[in-house]
Formats: sequence, structure tokens, C-alpha cells
Amino acid sequence: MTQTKKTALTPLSPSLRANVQAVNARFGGSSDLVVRLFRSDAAPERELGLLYIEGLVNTDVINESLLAPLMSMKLPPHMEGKSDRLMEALRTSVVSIGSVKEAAALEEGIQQMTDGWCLIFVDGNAVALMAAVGGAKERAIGIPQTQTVIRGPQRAFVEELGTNISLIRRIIRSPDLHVQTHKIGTQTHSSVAVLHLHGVADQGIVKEVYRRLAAIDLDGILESGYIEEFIQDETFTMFPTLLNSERPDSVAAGLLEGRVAVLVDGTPIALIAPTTFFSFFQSAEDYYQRYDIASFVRTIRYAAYVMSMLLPALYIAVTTFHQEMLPTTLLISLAAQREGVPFPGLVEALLMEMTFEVLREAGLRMPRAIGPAISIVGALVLGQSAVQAGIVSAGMVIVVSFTAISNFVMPENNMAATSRIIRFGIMIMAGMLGFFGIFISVLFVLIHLASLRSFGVPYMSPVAPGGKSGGLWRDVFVRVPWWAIVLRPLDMKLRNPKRQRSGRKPPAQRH
Amino acid sequence: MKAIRLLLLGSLLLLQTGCWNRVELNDIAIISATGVDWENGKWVLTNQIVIPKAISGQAGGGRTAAVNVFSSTGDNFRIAISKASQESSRRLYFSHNQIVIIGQEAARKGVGPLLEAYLRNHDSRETVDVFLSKGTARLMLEQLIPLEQIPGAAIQRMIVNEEMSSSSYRQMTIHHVLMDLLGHTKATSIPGLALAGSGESTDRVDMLSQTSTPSKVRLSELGLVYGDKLVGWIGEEQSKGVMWLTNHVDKTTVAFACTAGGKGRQGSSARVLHSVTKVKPQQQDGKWVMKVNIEAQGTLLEYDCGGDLMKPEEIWEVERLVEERIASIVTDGWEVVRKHKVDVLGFGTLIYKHHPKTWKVIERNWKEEFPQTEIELNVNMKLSSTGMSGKSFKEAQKKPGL
Amino acid sequence: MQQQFGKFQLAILIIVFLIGSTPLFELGIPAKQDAWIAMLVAAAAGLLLTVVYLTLHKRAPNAGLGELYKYHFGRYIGGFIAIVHALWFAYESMRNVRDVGELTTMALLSFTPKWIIMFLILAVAAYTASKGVEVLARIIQLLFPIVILSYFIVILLVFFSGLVKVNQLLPIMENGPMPILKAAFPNLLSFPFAQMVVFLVLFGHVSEKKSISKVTYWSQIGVSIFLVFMNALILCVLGPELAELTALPLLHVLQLVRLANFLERLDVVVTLLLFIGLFVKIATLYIASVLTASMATGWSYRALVFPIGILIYAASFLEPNNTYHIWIGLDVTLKIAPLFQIALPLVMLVVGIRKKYRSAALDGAQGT
Repeated sequence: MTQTKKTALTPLSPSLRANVQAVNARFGGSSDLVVRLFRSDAAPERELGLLYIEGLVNTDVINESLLAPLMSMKLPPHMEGKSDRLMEALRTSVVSIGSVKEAAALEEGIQQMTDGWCLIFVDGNAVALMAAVGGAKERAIGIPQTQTVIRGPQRAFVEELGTNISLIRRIIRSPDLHVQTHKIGTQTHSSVAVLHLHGVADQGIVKEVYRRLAAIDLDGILESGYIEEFIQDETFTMFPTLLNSERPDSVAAGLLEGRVAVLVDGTPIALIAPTTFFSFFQSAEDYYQRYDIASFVRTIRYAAYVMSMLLPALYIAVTTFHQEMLPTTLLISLAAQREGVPFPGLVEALLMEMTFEVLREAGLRMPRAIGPAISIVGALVLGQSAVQAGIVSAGMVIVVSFTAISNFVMPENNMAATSRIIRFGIMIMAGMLGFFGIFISVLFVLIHLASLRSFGVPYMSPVAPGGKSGGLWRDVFVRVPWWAIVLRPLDMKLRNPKRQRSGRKPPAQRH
Repeated sequence: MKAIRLLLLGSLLLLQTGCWNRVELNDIAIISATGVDWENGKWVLTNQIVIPKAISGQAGGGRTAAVNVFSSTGDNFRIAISKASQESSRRLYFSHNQIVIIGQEAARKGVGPLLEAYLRNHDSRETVDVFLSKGTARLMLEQLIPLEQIPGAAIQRMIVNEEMSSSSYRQMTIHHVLMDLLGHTKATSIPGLALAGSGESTDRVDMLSQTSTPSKVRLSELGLVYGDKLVGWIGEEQSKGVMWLTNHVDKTTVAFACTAGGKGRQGSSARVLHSVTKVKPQQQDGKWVMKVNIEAQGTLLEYDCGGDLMKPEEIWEVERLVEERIASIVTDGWEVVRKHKVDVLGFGTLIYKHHPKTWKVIERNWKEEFPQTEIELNVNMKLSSTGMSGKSFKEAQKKPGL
Repeated sequence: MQQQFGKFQLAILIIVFLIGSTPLFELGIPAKQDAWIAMLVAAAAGLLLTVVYLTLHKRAPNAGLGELYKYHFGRYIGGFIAIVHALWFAYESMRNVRDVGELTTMALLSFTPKWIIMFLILAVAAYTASKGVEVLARIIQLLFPIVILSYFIVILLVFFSGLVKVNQLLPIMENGPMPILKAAFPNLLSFPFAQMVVFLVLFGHVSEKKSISKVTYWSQIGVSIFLVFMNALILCVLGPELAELTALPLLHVLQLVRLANFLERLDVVVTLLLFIGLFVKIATLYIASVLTASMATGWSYRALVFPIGILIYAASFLEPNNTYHIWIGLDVTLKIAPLFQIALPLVMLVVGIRKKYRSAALDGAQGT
């Protein structure tokens, strides 16, 4: 469980005072280190020490399950007078706490203390008894903030890892759900849990996740984003190759499909791998609402994504290079709007896009209370007034607004952000070379997409490479009814590629 | 890999330096119509430029004309266009050009150079409609047309409307003209425009404030082109005959008289809703005979004759009258075309398609052989409905004793 | 492990590769209104050549073209031929690069310097090449639905706009079969059908060896029918005279499409469609060139991507103008192409048979 230490371990001393001093010294005399020295009724000659870090432990548990029994304990008859066996007695019959361990080395004990365990020293014993009494105050389980659904569970992960794992366990009640916890971060010692469904997930991928996690040597892991950048296949890409989710049901769904989930202590965002480009267009709700509506909405999402990437570029290309493509009346009305606009189309578009990006960022960062004020400034001052003042044309404002709205359709924020960056590149190319520029940029993006992999799985599968089995297509651009989704979606060697027997179509009920 | 990435980045930077083909919407002069005239040994090119602000600006249109017309001259088309920059602040933009009007003089001189310019240049589209003009093309372009703001577009809609409702003329695009003139008979027909009315030009916006404009542009007569030159005009009725013969009539209205032989006032009319003409060439005693078979179908619009239309025999009678009338229109058209010795009917092409070997022999003398050709006409008209009433009003009024 | 792709991807690769820029030109127009028959004849002959290629491939299912040459002609002669053929692939790739340049200048961006256009398209192809055959197969699979859907829409639009006049194809065989055969051989056979020779390089990378022949035949038959159809469609719209006159017949056809006053001037979109086809050709031939060269010289694939890219780019400037480009394409290229497309494979076929007999004879000698 614990990571093997590279440094040499300091053995504990038999002297209680020495041990307490060592711990105190290691923590630099931190004020939240609580040292409670006491004597027990059973062996009044020996001093006992209880050490813990305030705030990481549940004081009630300490008081009721540790201090009280310890102070008032009686040695069992066969141990009477053998105070050197006090430690054994403590462990076997006094400490009424589930997780108990013994530590022989100082570092071991200190490591556990930072995890919310307490140390019990007995004078004369070079061993420390450790008991898990963690129970720091945590935020209650809340509703999802970023991945909202209308129909479906309204539970989101919290910051505490144990709670998060339990949220998944409560969905997949199977012993096949295997959890492996790693300590990552030379300073933070953050717990990183890797979950997979045994017998379903590809063991090679699970091992690969372990291997990549083990290679991390950063001082601190504060969020799963740190992990993401270490374990993704390709760094120099704008496309996310790991799925993020704050929804236990999404993670559970991923596990059922044979993926691996990585949960990091301290963040409600879990990572899911391997993932494909198309996973980012699938909202959890797609699986909860009717398949026809879900399919329709999903196609809209794809269209909106393409729009959010290409629309301004297309507008620039059509209005400054290929005016012949516009219907005459539209051309004339656009031309009328542009009379007196001082900037070239490209500059106009970049200006408006930048304005929108600033507005958007401002909306995220500013205190909540001034939100409405900014929207008014944004909509009225920058939109309407800019048009009236003749600085930008009305058509451009419409295009930029629609592009912005299209971008919000994406269920995954990181994929949406990708299109926002790429959009600028394509706009510049469109401004230089018109449709040819767009063509080249899109081709470049497509080649890049085709070359990406996520934990060995081609990013664009099951479309490219595709054609292996028709069943894989049933949950890509549309979602077929649940009884028809027979195969797990990933294009990889799953141990168990089928999720149900085929031919389970419910018969039509006639009355 | 890295090198390629760097190169790509570098090329992006390079691209910043130039925008070769970029042209902003407020840097182009959108041309809605072009006119071609031949004056004093030079081509005169007239352009009708749309003023976007006058059409959909916030100030609102109405006060000023939505178009501006100006001409430039040169030895060929493209030089005339490039000379236009001497009096235009914006680049002339031809891709939205709706119509080309060729003045009579220019058409007699030859339309070849115009077609050549269209084939070679990418920005001039071949979907542009072509018209001939009785006066100068410039005069036609200067006319304002009620209801429409852009006269060029209005004329284009005029021919579409005409084709849809009476089929006396047909929409001829540069493409059609090219196909015809490059074909085996090297002949085509182009509808003409003329200024009808008092002759005073309707070229000021305030003239449109009256309920009736002093003059207006209208379609009139069909120009026959052989080689690339205008050789003659034929009238509206004859033009209709040509349309029947070339299977370009789809919807039209046929007026007919009550008596057989077409004598008397044509007080009744039938609407043709669909018609197909099939022509089959046949050689009979050294002569070519064109078997023309017209299948038309329509309804009765106006009926001025006697008889009870509730009886099938009466309907047959009416059908026969319509057929006769159509046949006479077609024959009239044929006679005129024959006189001009220009095979705008595509008879030669038909012979080529069906008898390629024989065509090789007669191809050279076709201009002489064409007028010798005879047509054998068979018209079949089907009235599918007599409208909402049975007997004619006149019949119904007849009361015994009055 | 060498990169691999599946049979489905092979089919798509063949289809998009053969479509390439072919519909752009009215091939076989010397046969006038019978151009489509010439196309049909050439397509049938192309299929026969494919039989030859597949027979060669079956002798060594994992080998590329370079190895086949070495196998049949020995290490040195075979290696030399392989290098020459690699250069030929590069040259053909260059021709397509140049086509992009010419097409863009003619139809899209008349004032933009060609070197930028050609540089960009080649850069994208080089990017693909650097990623290898696998990514090539995937990118074509991504582009395939776009290509098919667009052609489908284009065909529908042309039909709906009432431009198609089937009697333009009359009279059939006006001057007997000779003009048709003259148009078909060798020109139409060499381009596009015999360009299938490039697949001798790629067959080795297909993972499902058993289905290669079937997939290849069917996809080639399908795409041949499509190409003949497009050829006839252009003829039906433009007629033989205009089709012969215009430089880019398909664009000319699309310029004429005019529906509901809204769908006008679709030629820009079709130009992009042609770019996709050209890109696929450039990238495939580029990769074939690199693969063959790498096999012949023993240098690594990655090391050769960049030099060959530079070679192609430099070569694309050798022709001064479009007329020269087309003249070289029709007069020079088509005279050399049969050497690589027909002569060498046939020689290999014959040599291979002899080798097989000899080895069989040797086996027999040892047996007795």
C-alpha cells in the first residue's frame, strides 16, 4: 500500500520520551501536533503517549475509543504483571478501532499521522501502535456543478478520496471492482486510487496505468490535472486524451465499459482512461433519456462542435474570399453592413472573438455578485453599441455569438476549450487563404487526431480505424436502444467484450 | 517531426505577410448586369453597379437609385473592364452578375469575343442570362423597374416568370448559347429586350413615384444567331412556335377560335400545363422530314363557344380546336425560321445524333439543305379539366323565347 | 512491428485513391462522346493489371514493392529498380502537388503564389507521412464519408438542376471502336487505373491477408463504375465540344448548378472535394516512395520522410506553367508510366514463374 521509501528508515527508540521528541522534531514543533502523555491503570509504571495531528482526526473517536479504554484498561488475567506485553494487549483487546497497525520505524509512523492516524507509544517498546482515527470535517456530497443533467443521479464527487471510492462502490456492488491506492507526491503524499473492473478491463492497460503513475516524481499532486499531464500518451496535443468527470455514475459507466478510473484525493474530478474523441460528446444523460432524443441531441452536439471551430473562419472565408458563394441578396445586405467598418474582416473577427474570450474569462473569475453587471456590459456595450458605432458589422456579432453558444453545448469543458484555441488558428488561415486555408487547417487537425492514442487505443476509433464490427458504431454518433448495445465500446482487447447477450429486444406488448 | 513542426509554424508566420486574394465586402462593386455595345469600332462595356447602402442601409432605400450605370470602352472586353478602374473606386465584381445584354450592333458584329472572355475567366459565371437588345444595351440597363430595386435582377426574374407562365421566350444563359454555337448547327436564338412606351427613359427614382412609368423594359422578339452573329429577329408568336418545336414549352396559354380552320375572333383560351415535343428525323425521297409530335395537356381557361361541355364529344371538339391552333403557331414559327435559313431548332443536331454517317455528308451544305426540310406535325392535346363551370356563360344565358 | 491496417481500410484507400482527382478531368475526350466507353475499356484493362499485381503480392504476402524487386531481380538490380521506382512515386506525387497548385490558381486563389499553396499541401502530406501508413489509412477513413456524401450531393444537384441531357452521348461509336481504343490505351490505363501499382507497396501492411484479393477487386470495380459514371455525367451536361474546350470540366458543370437561387456557385466546395482526392494521392504516393526507398537502401523510414518531401517540393517548381505541366503529363509521363505500371510487373510475373519452376525442379532433384 505505502510507497517504499528510498531513504533509510530510522528505527524507533525504546524510550517514549525519545520517540516523542523525534516526532516533534520531525514536525518542527508544529502547534497542531498533539502529544498526550498518560498512564494506564493496568501498568501505572509505564508511561504511554498518544500522538496525533489536530484537525485530521476525529476527536470524539480518540476520546471514546482510545483515551478512555486506554486509561481504564485492565490487563487480562494471563498477562497480569507482564507490563512488557502491554503493547500486545493494547492491540488485541483494548483499542477498539478497525484499522490498526504497528510501526517500527519513525518515518512509517509519521507518514500515517499525516493521513489522520494516531500513534500510541508505550515506554520501553520500540514499536508504535497506529490506529486510524481519521475523520476530518469534509464537505457533504453535493450535486454536480459542471456536468449537469435533468434526468439522472444528482450526486457528485467530493474532495475526500474514501468517500469518492465509496460512491462508486455503492453503484458497482461487485468484488470485481478493484481499487489500488498509490501515494504520489514527495511532499503531499496524495492518495491516488486506480479503479478497474476485474475481468472486464484490459489488464495491459491497468498495468500501464500503474506503470505511468509510478513514474511520477513531483513534489505535490493537488488535483487530477497534475496526474493527467503525466500519464497522457501525447503531451503536445490540444486534445484531451483522458476524460474528466465529477459524476460517480459516469465513472461507473466508464468502468463497466472496461475503462480504468483514476481518483485523486483532494479533488472531485476523476480521470477515465482510455478514452476516444467521441467519448467527449457523450453526456451521462444520453444514457438516461430516451435513445431517439439522446441520438438527436448528440448529433446536434457534433454539429455545434464543428460550428464552434469553423463558423468564424467560414464567415471570414466567404465574405473576404468567396463572395460568389453568397446569395446575391445576402451579399448585398452584408456589404451594406460593412460600409464604414474600419477593419478588415479577419481583424474584426479576431477582435470580437478576443472580446468574447475576455468576457467569458471575466465571468468565471469575478466574484459572483457582479456577474449580472458584466453580462449587461458584455451584451449591450460590446454587442449593440459596437455595431451602432460602426466598429463591427452586425453579421460578425451574430456569427461570434452563435459560435460562443455552440461551444457551450459540449458536455466536456476541456474538449470545448480545444475548439476555442484551434478556432483562432483556423480563422487566421481562413483570413490568409480562404477556403484553402480552412481545408489545410482542418486536414492538419484530422491527421493529428488520427495519430493520437489514449493508452494504446486509437483516439478516433471506432471510426478510424474502424470497420471491425458494426456493433461498435451503435454508441458513437447516435445511441441505439440499450438492448442493442451488446458490445463494450472500446476498440481494444477486452477480456469480456460483451455486456449482455444479444437478441434481448423486449417483445412488443399487445393488449 | 520537429523540423516539420517548425516549418509549419514558420509558414504560418510567412502567411501573415500577404493576403493575396483577400477582398473586403466594402472594396468590391457588385455588378448586377452588364451590357455590351459596339460603337465607333470599339466595344463599349456598360456595368450596372449595385449600391448596397441604398438597398438595405439603416438610412433605408427609396431616395436614391439602388444602382449606378457606367460605361468603358476598349478593343476587347477585358481591357474595357480594366479601364473601368479609372472611374470606379472599387474593384468590379462580376460573380453576382445576373444578366448580359448585347446591343443589336454588337450582336451583328459577333458575340464570339464575349463568349471567349466568359470561358477563360473564373469570376464570370456561365449561368448569366443573355439578352439581345433592340436599342443600345446601355439604355436597357439605365431603366428602373417598378417593384424591384435592382433592374438587372428584375430582368432576370422577368424571363424566369415568362418561361414559367407563357413560354414565348426561353431563358438563355451563356452556357446554353455556348452549347448551341459549339454544336453542329452553330445556331442559337436569344430573347430580345426593347423599351416600350413613350420612349422617355425611366432612369430617375422620382419617376417611380407615379402609378405608371412613361416607358418600360419588356421582352420582345427573338434574335436568331448564326455562327456568332445576329442574323435576324422573329416576332413573339413565331418565337412561340420555335419554343414548341424545340420542346421548351411547358406552361403556356393558347387562344383559339370557335370554328375549325382558326377563322374568327379567338375568344377562348386553354392553359397548357405540361407539354412534350418529340422530333424524329426521317429521310424521304432525298429530303429530310421532321416528324414532330407534340403531346400537350391542360385545362380550359375561358370558353366563348357553344356546346355543352358536359359531353365528351364536345371536349374532343375543343381539344381539336386547340390542337389546330397549336399546329398553326408551330407552322408559322417554322416558316419564319426557314426563311432565315438558321437552324435554331436543332434539326441538324438531331440528324447527327441518329444518322451520324449521313450527317457527315450533308453537314457542309446544311445551311442550304435546312430550308428544304419539311415538318410533319402531329399535335395531341388533352384537356384534363374544364374549370369550375360546365357550359359557357353565353350558353347558359340563352333562354328559350329570348 | 510494422504498421498495419485492416481490409475495410484497404477498400477505402483504394476507392479514395482511385477517385483522387480523376473526376476533375474529362479523360478520354479524344474519343468525343464515347469518352465514357474508353473509360470503361480502360477500367476493364486496369482490373486485369490488378490481377497481375495481386498474383505478385501473393508470392510474398508480407513484402513491399522493394522486396519484390529484390526477390525477382536479385539484390543489386532489384535494389536499383526499387530506387528508380521510389523516385517515380515521388515524381507522381509531385505531379499531384503541382495539380493542387494549378487548380488553386485557376479556381480559387488567382493571386496567391503557388509556392505557398504547394508548400502547405505538401506539409500536410509530410505530416501524414511522418506518422506512417497507419495514420494514412485512418485519415482516409475519416475523409471517406465526406467524399462520398459530397459526390452524392453533387450528383443529385446536377440531376435536379435539369442540366443532364442523356442524348449528348449520342451517337455511340460514331467512328467505330478505334478512337475509343486509342483514347483508352495507354493514357486512360496509366491514369488512373494502373496507378494501382502503388498498392504493391501497401498490400504488405494489410493485417487481414486472406481478404486482400476480394476487397481489392470489389472496391476497384465499384470505383471504376463510379468514375465511368462521372465521366458520362460531365459529358451529358457539357457535351463533347464544351467538355473538350474547358480546362476543368467538373468545375464547369458545378458552376452551372443553380437551384432555388440559393445553392449557387458550388464549384468552390467541389474544389475542396478535389483537394481531398489530391491530398490522398500525394500522401499515398509520398509514403509509397519513402517505403520503397527505405526498403531499397536500408535507411530508416523516418530518416527518409524529410529528404523525399524536399525532393518533391523542389521538383514541383521545374515546370514553368500549366501548359507545360499538362504537356509533360500527357506526352512524357504517359510514355514512361507503362514501364513501371505494366512492363516491370509483367517481367516479374514471368521471372517468378521460372524461379518457381527452377526451385520445384531443384526440390525434385533432391528428392530422387
